Amino acid sequence: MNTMSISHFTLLSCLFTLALAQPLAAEQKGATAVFVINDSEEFAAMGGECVVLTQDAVPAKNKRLLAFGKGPTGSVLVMVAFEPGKDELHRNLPPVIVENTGSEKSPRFPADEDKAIWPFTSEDEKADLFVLLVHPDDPMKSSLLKNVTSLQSALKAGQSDAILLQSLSLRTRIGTLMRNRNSDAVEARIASSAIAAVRRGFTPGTTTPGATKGARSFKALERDWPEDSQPVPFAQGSPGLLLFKIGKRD
Amino acid sequence: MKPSPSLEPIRSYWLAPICVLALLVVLRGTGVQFAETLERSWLDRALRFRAAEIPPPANAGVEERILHSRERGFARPLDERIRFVEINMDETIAARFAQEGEYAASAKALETMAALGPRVIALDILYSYGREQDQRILADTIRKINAGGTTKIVTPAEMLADKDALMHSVPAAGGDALPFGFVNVDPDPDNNWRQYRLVRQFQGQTLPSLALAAFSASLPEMLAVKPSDGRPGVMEWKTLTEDGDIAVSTVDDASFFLNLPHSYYNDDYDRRAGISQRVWTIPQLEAQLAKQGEPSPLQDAIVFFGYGKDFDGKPTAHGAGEPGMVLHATALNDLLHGTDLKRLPLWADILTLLLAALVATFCFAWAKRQTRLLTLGILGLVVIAAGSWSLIWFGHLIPAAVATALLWTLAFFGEIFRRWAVEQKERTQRDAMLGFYFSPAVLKQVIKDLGMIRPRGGEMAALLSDLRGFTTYCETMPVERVFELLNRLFETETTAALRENGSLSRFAGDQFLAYWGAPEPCSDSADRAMRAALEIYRGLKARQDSPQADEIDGMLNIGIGLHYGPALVGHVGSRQYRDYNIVGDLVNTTARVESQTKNYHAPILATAEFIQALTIKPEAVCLDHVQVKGRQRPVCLHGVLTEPTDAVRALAAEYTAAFTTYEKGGFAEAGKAFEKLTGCGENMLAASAGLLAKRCAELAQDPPQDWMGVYVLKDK
Repeated sequence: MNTMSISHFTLLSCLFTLALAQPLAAEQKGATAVFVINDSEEFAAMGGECVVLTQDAVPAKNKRLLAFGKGPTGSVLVMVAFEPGKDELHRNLPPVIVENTGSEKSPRFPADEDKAIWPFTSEDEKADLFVLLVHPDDPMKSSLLKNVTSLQSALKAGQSDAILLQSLSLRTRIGTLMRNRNSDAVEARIASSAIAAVRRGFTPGTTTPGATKGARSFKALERDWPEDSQPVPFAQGSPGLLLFKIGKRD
Repeated sequence: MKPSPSLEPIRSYWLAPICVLALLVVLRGTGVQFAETLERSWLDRALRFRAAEIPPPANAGVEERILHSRERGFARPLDERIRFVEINMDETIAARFAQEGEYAASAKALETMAALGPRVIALDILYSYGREQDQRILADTIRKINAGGTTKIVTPAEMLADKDALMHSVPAAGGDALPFGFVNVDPDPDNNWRQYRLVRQFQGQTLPSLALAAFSASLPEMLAVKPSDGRPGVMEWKTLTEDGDIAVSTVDDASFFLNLPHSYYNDDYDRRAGISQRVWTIPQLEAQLAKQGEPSPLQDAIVFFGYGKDFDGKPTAHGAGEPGMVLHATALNDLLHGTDLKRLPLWADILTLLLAALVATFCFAWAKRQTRLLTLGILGLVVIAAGSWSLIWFGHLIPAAVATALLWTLAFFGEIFRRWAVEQKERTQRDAMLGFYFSPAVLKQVIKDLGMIRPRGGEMAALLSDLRGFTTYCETMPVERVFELLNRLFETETTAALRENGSLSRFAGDQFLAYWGAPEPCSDSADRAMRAALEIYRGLKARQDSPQADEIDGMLNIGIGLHYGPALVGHVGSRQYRDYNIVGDLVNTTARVESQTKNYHAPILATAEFIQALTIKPEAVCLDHVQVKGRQRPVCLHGVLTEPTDAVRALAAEYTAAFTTYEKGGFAEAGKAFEKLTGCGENMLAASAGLLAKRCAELAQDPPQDWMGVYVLKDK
């Protein structure tokens, strides 16, 4: 320390400050994952068995879907599910829009406060789940906020025309992003269960008899879900978009 | 009350603008086609200009060309959701059609497109012929895709020429059961495609065009466009306002002008807007479908499927062969963004024309000079052009620009012509007025150089005549005969004076004054005056001696005075009345000389200065040497011998000899000589001799002490 001069310290401080002060113009990444939650009695101790969504996930009576997402502080996360190829919301599940504040609790879809459940009980269940990440300085941020909050209000009030129109508006925005080759719109990878299990590995002592190999407990999901997540790259002027095509498609 | 100066000029200038305005209002109101055709051509020009590309310099390098490629027209591309799939009959397509059949190949193309996830595929190809089994292939494919729920296909229908029948695509396969939209787009009279109708009425039904049908198909079922209850020809749908409120939007069956942004074949605008490939061919789509993991360029798009310009080219503002489907796509774009162009209503056109007429009138009142007027005219045209294009580009309204420009131009031409006509009239009046003063030859010079009639002085010759006994005639004769007398007299005098290029001063009662040497200087002014005087004398004598002479001719007895000396010419008078005239000692002296003609019975009396100025001197005799009243310098009066014979010359010689004796003071001797001449046959010499004889008798009795040979006259 004695050998470090004041000028060296000042230089280092400046460089450190510059590094921290880097604007968010460069590409950044968020993360998202979709899980199948099994709320059967046998998994009550874990709070429910959570397995990342796979191509061959089998629907069942006590199963539901839950998506997680997060982004860097200041970015805006939107999660919304539509009927495939349509402008109507899937099961009228309210979209989620959150400004990431860096808090511990990750946004999820459906949101806890909506008290909505996304059942995964039928093989014919199909939905397009879109996860968007928008830079805080992105030009579409304010209109997107207005669109989604209006849709949320319409859903709460049960205004069917407003729901349809706001959904159409939101879906049209998403369609624009998907058509734009310069965007980071990408279809999410939904791996087979075998591959997903291999990736996840097996953690002894964390499973309940009958649990799927590599499953997580719901109680630990808030902490552990990023391990099963996929990146959502985005930048200013180039919103991130990931599409989970849920359900078997032709 | 006299109008204020600011209003009076304006009132003078309204005529041309109002006349043209009336003509154009009638044309516009009666819908004369040529005017509308010109307006539409102007619209085309506005759209082309907006889309115009600025070419890079011919010798530009690569970097410069790239930089230049940014300097393009400012038209906005079609909505990003709109895509085209084009069938161009190349060898690949031709081979497919030949092998599989057109309908089967088209069905496959539709399946390829649908697999790429568009929201709507709108067909602009009327599959209306072929075998039923071929049509069924296509119809089944369309039904299957529609049933899939993701992509909707909208088929075309066409109103046939007789207007009572509707031709659906794949009719044999039940095409009328498929969702459809009208593809009829009517060209303008000049065969350019500009207008569109989103809604059509057919056999009591309100039906959508292909563009509206494609738009409706892109909406959820519950938000689809449907006919408005109770309003035929109107279709409606729910929409969100900017504030997020729900509103009902409507369209009717009125036609509007398509806001065509640029040529279908120009994709620079798309590149600038970051839009990926807008126009696809079937092989390109097949290749795209084969790629894994990339987003689909047709995802959620509204795709128009039709032929390229080779089979379905139509002339529009941007080219002679734009594919027909670009009309439907533009109509859809206009519907989505509210950019459809509407012609201003009649009342707005008339208001515009009226405004132009008023502005023109004020311009005329303000611009006194021709250059300023022309500048305003050109400036006005630029403003009209720029204003009309701005209204088209930004206000989406089509004004009567050509009519307004026509009014402006015609009004300005009218004003220029009016000013020219006024100037011509004034010039004619001025020339006519000047013609009263100058002979034609002099007038010609004066017109060439109006500076000639500026005030100036110089040596001139003057002729003044007076009718003897005129006062008595005025008292005794009827007024018509007095004027007849004067007019005959002035006719002769004017003719004689103008023939010698004299300038006429005035007719003052029976007095006639002409002068030479101004405004055009001449070296023989005295000679001309002399000739004129002789012609006047002979002309009047000829009248009197003529067998047809009447009582009035018998009254034409005049005396003519001639003098030469300095005078001034110029305009004299007040602001209300001015006259071009001659003033000075010349005139006064000439008048004095003339007044002596009756005393000497001399038809023509000239002064010594006048005789001296002559180059060709007539035969004349010095009758007297007097000082006239009002003048200091004595005047030598020369009587011109109008009919000199040998006898007259001998008498003149005697007179001259007697006068010489008189001048020397030999009054008694001279008196005798004069007395002898009083009975001679020559009237002037006899009268003059009598006068001098009498004077000699008076002077002999009381000879003046300082006799210089000049007798002072007591009367004028």
